Amino acid sequence: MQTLLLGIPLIPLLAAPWAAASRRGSWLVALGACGAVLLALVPVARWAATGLVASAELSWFSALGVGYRLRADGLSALFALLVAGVGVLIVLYARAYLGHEPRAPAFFAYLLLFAGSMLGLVLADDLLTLYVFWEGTSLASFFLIGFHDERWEARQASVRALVVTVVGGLAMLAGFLLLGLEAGTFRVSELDPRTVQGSPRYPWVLGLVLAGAFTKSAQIPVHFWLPGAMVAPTPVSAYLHSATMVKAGVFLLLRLLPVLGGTELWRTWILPVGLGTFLFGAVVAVLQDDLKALLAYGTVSALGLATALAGTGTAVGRDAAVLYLINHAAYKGTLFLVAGAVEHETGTRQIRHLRGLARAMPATATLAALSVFSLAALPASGGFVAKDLAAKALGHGLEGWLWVGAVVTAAFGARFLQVFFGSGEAEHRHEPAGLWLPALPLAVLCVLFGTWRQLPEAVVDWLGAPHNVWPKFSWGKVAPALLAAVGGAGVAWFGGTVSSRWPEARWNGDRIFDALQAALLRFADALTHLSLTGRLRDYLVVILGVAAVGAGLPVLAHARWPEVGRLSFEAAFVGIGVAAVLVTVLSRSLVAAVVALGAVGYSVVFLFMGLRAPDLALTQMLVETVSLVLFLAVVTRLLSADVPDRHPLAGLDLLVSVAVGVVAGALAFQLSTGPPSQRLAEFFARNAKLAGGTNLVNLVVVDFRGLDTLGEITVLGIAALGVLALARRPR
Amino acid sequence: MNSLVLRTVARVVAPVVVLYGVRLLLVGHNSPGGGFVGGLVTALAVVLGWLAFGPPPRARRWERGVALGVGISAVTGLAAVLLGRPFLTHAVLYAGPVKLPTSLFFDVGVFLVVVSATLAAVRTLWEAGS
Repeated sequence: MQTLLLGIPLIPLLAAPWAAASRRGSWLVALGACGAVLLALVPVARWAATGLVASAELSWFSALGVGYRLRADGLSALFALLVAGVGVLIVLYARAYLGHEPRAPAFFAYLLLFAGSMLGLVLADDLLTLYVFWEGTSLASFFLIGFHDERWEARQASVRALVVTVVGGLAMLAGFLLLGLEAGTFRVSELDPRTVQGSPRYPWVLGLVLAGAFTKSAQIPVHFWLPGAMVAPTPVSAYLHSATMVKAGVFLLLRLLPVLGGTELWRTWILPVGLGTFLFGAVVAVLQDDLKALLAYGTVSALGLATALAGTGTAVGRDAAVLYLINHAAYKGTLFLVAGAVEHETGTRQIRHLRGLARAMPATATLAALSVFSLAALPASGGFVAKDLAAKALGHGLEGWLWVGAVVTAAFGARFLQVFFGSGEAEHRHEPAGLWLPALPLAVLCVLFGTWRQLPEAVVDWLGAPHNVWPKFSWGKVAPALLAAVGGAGVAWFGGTVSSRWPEARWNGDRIFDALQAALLRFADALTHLSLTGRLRDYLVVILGVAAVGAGLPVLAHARWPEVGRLSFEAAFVGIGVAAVLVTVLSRSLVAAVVALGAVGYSVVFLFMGLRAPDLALTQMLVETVSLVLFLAVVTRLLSADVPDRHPLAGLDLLVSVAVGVVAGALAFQLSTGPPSQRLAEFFARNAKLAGGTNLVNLVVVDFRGLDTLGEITVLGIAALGVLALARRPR
Repeated sequence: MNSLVLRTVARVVAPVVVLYGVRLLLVGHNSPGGGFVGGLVTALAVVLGWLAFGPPPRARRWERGVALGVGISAVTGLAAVLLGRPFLTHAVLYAGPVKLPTSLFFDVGVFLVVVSATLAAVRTLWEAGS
């Protein structure tokens, strides 16, 4: 029964190509896949609720102890439910939002790619499995941010997001490898905290893993990709960039909390970043005029708080972070869907152009009010419960940050609500049910979490440490919350007046990223101009020179030189070859040079015959013949048969050619006289019977070294395709 | 190239050389030969035909031959995987008195790639020059 788990991430991943292939029903495929995942999660959730942990695995790189391992404890089950549940709503919403978008099938396919990767990420019990799914989400995010790829801004934003998250992801991979090597296992649930934290490499592991978590969860100073990602269609912003994907960083911190957490280093590295991001995001959010940008900075702020909560390194902190993240998914998801509906109906997201939408869009306005109610953490809302626990987790020393943050958070919530109040010319707007009904369950969740005690308690219970999370309603708590909200409304008014005059930041993250990218491109340009002269000879000199030096130094260092024995008949062929080489080099006619080159090859054929290697001789002869034909075809048909443009003995060319010759000769000599090759030959001879043949050369080619041959014919095929592509220039 | 002698010779020689190329492929397991050499011989025979009877017909998709060859070789390796052995494990089959090593199928793929790649190169350069 537990092996069912392995299939859960695969459902959306397998449905993705299907959705891409089906035309009008792609949303149905996506809906079915998310629904199926939700159904499959029912037994998993049951296990999690009773404290059971389901796990299953499939062998992958067994030699490295790496497997496709999944494990559903309470934390994983909660996030998986979140991904699948929000996914269903987003698919429904996206169907109405996209309308008659011709590329809708691709959109839903990317969405499924994301959903599958995210499910794998939260369920993974193997560091490398986790990493693969982690990058899968980055990739899906890249495709979705750049969905409107005809716009430069969308392409650039998707590249920024991809580079930031993948660079962080690679650092994280390095951290995972170190962690796995230190702990002796890649299985997350078996990592031993004492071994890891006692190791001198612990700071490295922690730093690298944090790099991954911070980039994914948009902490300062690499937060800039998240507001940039708002060029994506709004369902994507709601799903990936607020409700689920950006939480992967915090999820990773929570997942590794038992292993890496609880140390002084953990607190001092994470808490400042989290709290800084929390305040920074909220303040910048207030100053935004674009609805989605406002929400994006709000998300940055929320991720900061969640990171800080994980940074406390305590069980209460973990519970508060999870509770807060779930509530955040509910209210921020709703707000994004509302913003999308507003933009869909009015064609703008600028707050200063939007007024009085409540009359035309009453349901949407109600949903917005419900979610801002939770965002501002007013009593009887989910946000209140979560922030109460957060205050407990942060403790008295840091609680002050929370209050300052609450005021600013309430402020940008109020800014958002502005668009619904006042009087405006919004008479002809309407609201299709498809653009607000999907948000309804999320908005209801905002209220349920604050009024139905069992809900937050169940969440904490799943996490494994049941303790009292239900806040006691006392004026001591309610009054500050109300005050913060009122103060926030005041700040919002102030922010509204300031934001119109706010100068665009000169050096924000986007600009720095773009400047670095441009500098890199300029550097590449300069390098290209320096190295690409457009003359084949120059390239050959560089390539062969590097090869000669690179292969030559080690060979010459351990050189064994041949003893010159008695001269035999082979010497005659060597002499012919040398003479032909001289003719090739000194000839003033290309045709003569080509023919002489052929003679060099044929002299080798006779050498092979003399050494009783008929297979080699045969192959050499045919290769020589084919090359000759090709060369002649090129020389007589493509080139003028004139003298080469540079004397063949000119300086560097001569030096490089001689060096290559000497090194190749030395290499061949070392390889054919060294002991390992002899052992190999004996091995092949002994086992020829197993392969059922007597021609050892051919057995080596097709059987013993079959993989090499497969690689070689692939290279040969690619070379042939290259010839086809190069020569068939458009005329 | 319009030469009566060449045409007369090619009419007789080219088919024989093609057969010889295929023979090289088949006997490679026990005597000199194999897919690579057999492919080269066959390709040369075809080129001889081209030389004698004029340029090759247009719109041949040599890249398909390359893909088919690599595909065949890879699939022979995968067959072993399906039977639970490592990739590219070969066996010797006996069909009555005929000994048939599965590596022969692998060699057929090599043969196809070599023929297609060689002919693609010759043909393309030929066309580019004329």
